[in-house]
Amino acid sequence: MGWMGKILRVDLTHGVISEEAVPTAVYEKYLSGIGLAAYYLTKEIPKNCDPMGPNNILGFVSGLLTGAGALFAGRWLAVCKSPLTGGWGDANCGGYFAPALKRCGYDAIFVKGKAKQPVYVYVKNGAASIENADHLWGLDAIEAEERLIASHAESGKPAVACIGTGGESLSLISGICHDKGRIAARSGVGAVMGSKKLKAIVVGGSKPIRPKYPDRLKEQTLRLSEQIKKQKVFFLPDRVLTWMGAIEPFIKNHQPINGMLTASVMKRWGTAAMTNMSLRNGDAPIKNWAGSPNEIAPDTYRALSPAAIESREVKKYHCYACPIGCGGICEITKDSGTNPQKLHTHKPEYETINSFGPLLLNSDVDSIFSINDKLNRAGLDTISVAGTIAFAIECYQTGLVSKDRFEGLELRWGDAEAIETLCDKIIRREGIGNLLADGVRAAVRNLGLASEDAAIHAGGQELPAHDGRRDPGYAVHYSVEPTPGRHTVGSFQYYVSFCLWKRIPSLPVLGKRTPKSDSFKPSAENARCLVACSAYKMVIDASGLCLFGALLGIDHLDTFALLEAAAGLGYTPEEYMIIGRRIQTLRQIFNLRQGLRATQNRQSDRASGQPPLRYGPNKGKTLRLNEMIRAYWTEIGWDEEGVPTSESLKQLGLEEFLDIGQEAGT
Amino acid sequence: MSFYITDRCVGCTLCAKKCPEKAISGFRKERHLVDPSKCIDCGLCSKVCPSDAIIDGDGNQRRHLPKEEWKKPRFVLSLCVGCAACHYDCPASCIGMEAMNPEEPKTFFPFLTDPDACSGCERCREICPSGAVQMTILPL
Repeated sequence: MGWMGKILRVDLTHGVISEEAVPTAVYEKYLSGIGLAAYYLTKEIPKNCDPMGPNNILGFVSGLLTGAGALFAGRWLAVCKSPLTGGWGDANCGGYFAPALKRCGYDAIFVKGKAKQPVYVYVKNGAASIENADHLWGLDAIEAEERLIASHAESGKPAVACIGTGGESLSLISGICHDKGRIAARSGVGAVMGSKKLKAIVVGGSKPIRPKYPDRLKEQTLRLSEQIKKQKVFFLPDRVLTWMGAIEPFIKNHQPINGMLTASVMKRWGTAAMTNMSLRNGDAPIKNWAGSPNEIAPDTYRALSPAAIESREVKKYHCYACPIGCGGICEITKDSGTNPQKLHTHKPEYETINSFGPLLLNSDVDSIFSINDKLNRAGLDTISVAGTIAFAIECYQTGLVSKDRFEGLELRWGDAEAIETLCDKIIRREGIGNLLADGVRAAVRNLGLASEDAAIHAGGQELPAHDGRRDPGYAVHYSVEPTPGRHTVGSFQYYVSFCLWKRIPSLPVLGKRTPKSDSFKPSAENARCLVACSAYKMVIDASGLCLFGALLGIDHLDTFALLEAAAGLGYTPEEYMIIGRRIQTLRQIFNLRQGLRATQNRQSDRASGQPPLRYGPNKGKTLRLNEMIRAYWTEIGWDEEGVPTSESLKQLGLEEFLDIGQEAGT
Repeated sequence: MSFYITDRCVGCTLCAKKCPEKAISGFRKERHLVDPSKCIDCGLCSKVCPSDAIIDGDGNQRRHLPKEEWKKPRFVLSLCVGCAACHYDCPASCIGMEAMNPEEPKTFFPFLTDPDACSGCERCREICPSGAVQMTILPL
């Protein structure tokens, strides 16, 4: 058990809401969460469906461990066919939406159709209704959420997932907001919600969720929470992290890091801890992926240091059931003429700091806080907006696009004021902002450019701030995943942290004896590590767990034991990994059925080191990406074109999709 | 698995009045009925029932309990990790979060905001991943 056994279906065209029981066999085969979504969406979204049309299904799914009493089980997913990449789209978010949804008695909500007027859906303990949202349309995400919580105070503390103005104006890089600034940002899920004229989903449930063996589950969580509680906050100054980053390129072998050290660093600084470290060790892309650390202004390290971010934090932010609390609530001053206001805002994450910092050579921390708040309110993806601005600045600087098209806006690297102005234009879809508001791939088309050189993306999704030239695992995952351009799936660094070989002895061990340079070889062994990452991440997403929990290592957060205690399916860790592969393959089948070829998702050449960088920790590195991708496909059982082979489909029990090979060929 | 009212019910309507989810319906002096889709297993009905007519989802007979003997949560801060699972899961919304440990000033810990609203359903104890919730009879 551990699942609720029901899903809620909402048809906005006809205004019909219905409940559907999910057969136990589905849970046994796909678990819950992303597995449930992959099963229903692949079955029900028609071929070549218009992502912004009424046939696309937008799903909100919780996980198998959500609310069952497990730690780190606060993540939910928004799933749909992505308008940004044209294939499978999902976006992961924290907060407390997942338990609130599951406590209504549903594992997932699937919305299809298109409303004529703006609406929102209110779900409360087994009853649901479609309500008018005229008064909310046009409000930013935070205001809309505050109003909805106030008007549904009767259900205690309802959770709201809503779109901001970005989703309303159908920007393809918009996401779905929750809890005043947590955002399920990627894959353009906000645009799909906006196309359905669905402003928000409000869930307020209080039904109990019962795991099968509560005692076994409690035993696991008590051990972990005791360890984390004992781990006092990291006492060293943040400069240590910068030094660690500076030394790292000279260490030849993989360095396994104890998960509890990760926990204490995250507890103190959150993901912002990685900013300076990543700048030094080559993990952070600089100047639209073409620069190196010697180009950034010397004051950047101090301006963007973890301590500088921490000093603005007034309290910690924990997602549901999270013992670490890597988030934070910060105070910013909003300048409105003579009357400056103090506002609370979420602490910018590493991705935001790096994307609006070194990627644009910007070192103004105030502008990063202000942009982060603006984009959270508009419900836009910070990674994608920054990637698009980096593209725009490069076009302006190299003269690819004539300067008159920027309407007098002078774009220079590191010019915080210009960057913020361009952000405002993108949010309001004004002039040049309108051309850039759908991401880099659309911007190339809108601006009528011949070459995509300056647009750094994978299959349309702008790349996040982890450089594949340092850890080729990222590059492979950016290019092979059915949702391209994701840093939250796997890499060799993640593989070392997951320590999966401690539960699955057949997996290769990467430890102090394995040189890092080995990971650049397109070998079958490397591919096994990366396939294991993909499969494990699917299990994590199906359980509703957080990636940062998994990064503590399998010996600290034992996902397989937790799943056994909650669901009691009697599976071994290997069998759970096969479920992970099954979900991964099913998502690939979804892409093929939608006519998206796997080769289209390969990341931009510049990000794979063509041409190679001339300075910095990543200098001279060029990835043999095509061969690595082939090795990954062979290992997971897909052919030369990334189409799952019939043998692997039979092995995974996906016989109903055996015809996918012929379909993809036509 | 929702609660169930047996034929010992005398129809006093007390449970229907007290049910926080309005899941119980029935006329005076007639047997009442629990709506399973609304019941959240808080057990308040069984505590107030004067004729012990209520059994829980697992089939156990629940007994009437005078209000002074209702157990309420006590939070052990030395074990609590501040994950707020109890805060979000409390069906009566009577657990608040506040910074109260000077050693960790930015972290928030749970406390009982309204002891009268708490029905002692023990959901916080069940959900707590760190075993920091103990159920005790609070002094009046």
